[in-house]
Amino acid sequence: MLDCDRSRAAEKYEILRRKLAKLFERQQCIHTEELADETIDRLVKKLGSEQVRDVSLFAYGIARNICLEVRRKTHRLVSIQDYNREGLPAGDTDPEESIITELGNARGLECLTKCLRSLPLDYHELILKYYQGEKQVRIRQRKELAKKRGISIEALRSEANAVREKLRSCMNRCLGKKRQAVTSQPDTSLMAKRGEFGGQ
Amino acid sequence: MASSRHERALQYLLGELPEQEAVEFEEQCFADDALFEETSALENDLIDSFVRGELSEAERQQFEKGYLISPARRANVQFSRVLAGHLSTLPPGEAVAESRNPPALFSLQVWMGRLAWATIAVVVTAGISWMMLANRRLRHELDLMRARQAQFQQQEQDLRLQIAALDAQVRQGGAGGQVRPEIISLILTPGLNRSDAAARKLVISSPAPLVRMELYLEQDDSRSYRASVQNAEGQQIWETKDLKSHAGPQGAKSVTIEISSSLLQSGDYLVKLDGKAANGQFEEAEDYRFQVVKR
Repeated sequence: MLDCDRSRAAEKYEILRRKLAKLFERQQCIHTEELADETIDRLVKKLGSEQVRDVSLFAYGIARNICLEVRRKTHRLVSIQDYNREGLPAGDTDPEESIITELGNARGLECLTKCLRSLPLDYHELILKYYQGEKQVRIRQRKELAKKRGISIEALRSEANAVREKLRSCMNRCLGKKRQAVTSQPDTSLMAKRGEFGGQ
Repeated sequence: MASSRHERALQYLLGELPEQEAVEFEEQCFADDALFEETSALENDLIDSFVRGELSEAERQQFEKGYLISPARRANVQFSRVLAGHLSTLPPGEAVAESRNPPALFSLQVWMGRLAWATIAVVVTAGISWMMLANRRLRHELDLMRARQAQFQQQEQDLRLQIAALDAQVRQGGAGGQVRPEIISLILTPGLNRSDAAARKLVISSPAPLVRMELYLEQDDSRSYRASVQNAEGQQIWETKDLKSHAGPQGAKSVTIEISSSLLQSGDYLVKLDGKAANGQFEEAEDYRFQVVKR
């Protein structure tokens, strides 16, 4: 189990998923969020058959294997002549590239506005105040914000990271990226799987 | 220690760590949520600084070379660019209210603003309506004034035509009794005898001219006078009373009488002027003689 407390378990699940996505980003994989979901799926299956001491580190190992699998699979199926600049098979549209393009036009701003409004007011205020202003202004505002919310700077930073990730995921969905809305609305099957995670 | 973690996280993000060290750092992040959050926050701040142009040239080059190695990371940068752009358009402190329309719908400030605008709109509309009505009324009055002016001009034109016609009639001598009768003036001085009457000859050619006579006085002792006209036979043909003397152009006093020429025939005439005394009785004052020639 990630945690005995259900809400705390959900938080840990979110963090794990973000960690996995960041790993795939650095490994220059595409479909990073889908790969994160695939990693969690495999993790859940392993947890049913093996004793795991550290779920996060175990997930990290699975993710690295998946990354290697994806690379081997891509190299095996597509000849080098068919690769484009980013190492993608010709004709395969990279969703991140599509998002980059979409973000650059008016639809990006439209999606951002829509996603900001969909956030709870508390999160909305946090994301705007945390990131608004010049560098020194941001530092001062963050201290004030932490004081106002009665939490440490570190806790505030974690919240801001999580909300920013929610916002980014919302925008990706808004811009047409097809994937499960796990980050903002975890489905019941994944929530149920949390209970199968082994203790640390 | 913290500075060391921060420095290592930065090297990891910018791809400056050897692969083995990078893997070790990733493992630490997976095991330590705080380190992962710290690294994520650093990554976000790094991206934000990049899109806001807050990095030095060397940092920017390192960021582009070491961080922007995948489409997913470039998408993160683009997301940050859109977010920063949106935030820069919002005034500080009003960011939430500005960007959340549904709650703003119920804010007192917004409703007060809308009420103010609605009031302005009503006042402006009322003002425009009043101006339109006033303008219409003024135009109506202007039209009436123009009509009256045209009417006056027409009347003036008609009068000018009538005057011109009358002038023409007068010049032709055919006034037909409607024209003011001609006045023939005659100045008489007292003390003339019958033989001198011819010297005061009055020629009457018009059908019914009015004869005005100025009777000069040698002495003006009376408050009023009575004048009478007698023909050559001594018959009185005309008389008038309560005449007042008046000063002439040279200061001489005179009494003026007007008598219709129809009463006069060709021949000699005597004008007797009596002055009214203080006791009310008339006393003889002056005699005047003149001769009429009718043609």
